[in-house]
Amino acid sequence: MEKNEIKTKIREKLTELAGELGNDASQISDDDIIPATGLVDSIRILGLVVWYEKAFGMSLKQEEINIDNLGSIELMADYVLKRKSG
Amino acid sequence: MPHPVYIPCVNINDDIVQIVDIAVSAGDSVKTGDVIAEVETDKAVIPVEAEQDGYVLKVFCDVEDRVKVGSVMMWIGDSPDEPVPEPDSKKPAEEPSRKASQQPTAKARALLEKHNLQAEQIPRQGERLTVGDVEAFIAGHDGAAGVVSTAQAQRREDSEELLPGVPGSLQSLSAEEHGMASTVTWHRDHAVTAYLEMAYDQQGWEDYAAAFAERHKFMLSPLLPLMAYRLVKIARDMPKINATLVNGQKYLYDQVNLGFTIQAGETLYLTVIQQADVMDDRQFIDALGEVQRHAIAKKLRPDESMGATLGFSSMARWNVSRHVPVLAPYTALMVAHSAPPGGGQSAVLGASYDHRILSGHDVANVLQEMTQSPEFP
Repeated sequence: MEKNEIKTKIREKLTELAGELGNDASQISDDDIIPATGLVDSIRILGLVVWYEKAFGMSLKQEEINIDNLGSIELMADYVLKRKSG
Repeated sequence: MPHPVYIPCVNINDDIVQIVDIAVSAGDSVKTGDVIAEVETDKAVIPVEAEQDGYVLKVFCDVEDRVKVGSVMMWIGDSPDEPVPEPDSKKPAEEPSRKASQQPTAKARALLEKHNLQAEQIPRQGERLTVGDVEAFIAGHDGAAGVVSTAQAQRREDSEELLPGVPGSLQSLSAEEHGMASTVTWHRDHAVTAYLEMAYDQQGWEDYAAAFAERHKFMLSPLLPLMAYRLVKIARDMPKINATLVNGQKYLYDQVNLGFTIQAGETLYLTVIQQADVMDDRQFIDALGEVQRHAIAKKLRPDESMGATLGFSSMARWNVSRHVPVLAPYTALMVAHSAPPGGGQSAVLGASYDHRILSGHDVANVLQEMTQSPEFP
């Protein structure tokens, strides 16, 4: 899967989760730190992580779930590719 | 040679489980440890794994079937073309179905639950514990705490509710609804609950959580996990908050299993961090994060949803500024975190407690400790 395709899928899911709270995440940039945007609450960030694991066929250890790996759309896409290549 | 896969016995109180997923079909090859199905009890969804390599010969149930513990779910053979054995022809004497037949009868279990008794306490006349055995035990212990007279019990057994006089239809409770009903019924029938709350300034906790999150590069604020962990530490020093009452005696737990409420979609779970008292703060936060992910994915393991000895709950997510939580079964304390009203920092921390075990003074001491802002190392 290409990086842009991965980013598109993540953005779609993030937009869906933000929409549940009445927020519009369609304009979020690839580098915005997702928790800092305030567009999604903590339970939906966890929901995003659970979806991410399933959508890209990865099982994450708790210590992998951090800002450096999953903080933004860009970082999440990079981490998929890193895990798939590793 | 074909091998049966039986419907697992997850909980002694569950004779029936629901199939929520069948991951294989006849002809599929499986490896030892592959998840081949998932079953759901009142408490959790648990995976069923293949116990040997082979091929699925035949599957006997479908998703959403409610099936008896110990019955054959499917057969797995060494080759895909082995004949499927006749029903029960391969079931050995020690399989779970036989164990299930030695469990208390349904009426006996209901009476045990009503009186907060364990099956092991009761002498039995036959192979299975019957309602007669339990009634005889209760009659012999009339007047003991937690045990009402046989006559009282019989009156309650007979008091079937009448349908309302307005047209409507009956629906079965879902597994989650049944679990919640059991919890609140224990709260009503066994605990003698009271509630206290204490005002405090949440800013110190917020600052500490923010610094902790930055240091560990967390995605989420660890405020609630850190507060729950403070409760665990208090329980280490004050064992009576980590206890329950059984047959008029205080039962002090040897470990702290912290129950933590999580609302995942429409479902409220009381997730459980086993042996939280031997963890440090980071280990506890990681363990809770993992359990939360399992709850959201509806894949809680049995040990992640049972055996709470102490509870922590928050409704701050919905801006609820005060809530009086229901006690989890066999616990004496549930601390309730709420949102500061009006978006300020002055909030209240509450606690429901079993007054048979804890006094208001005990709980005030717990809240006093909980509301002290942590000190930075």
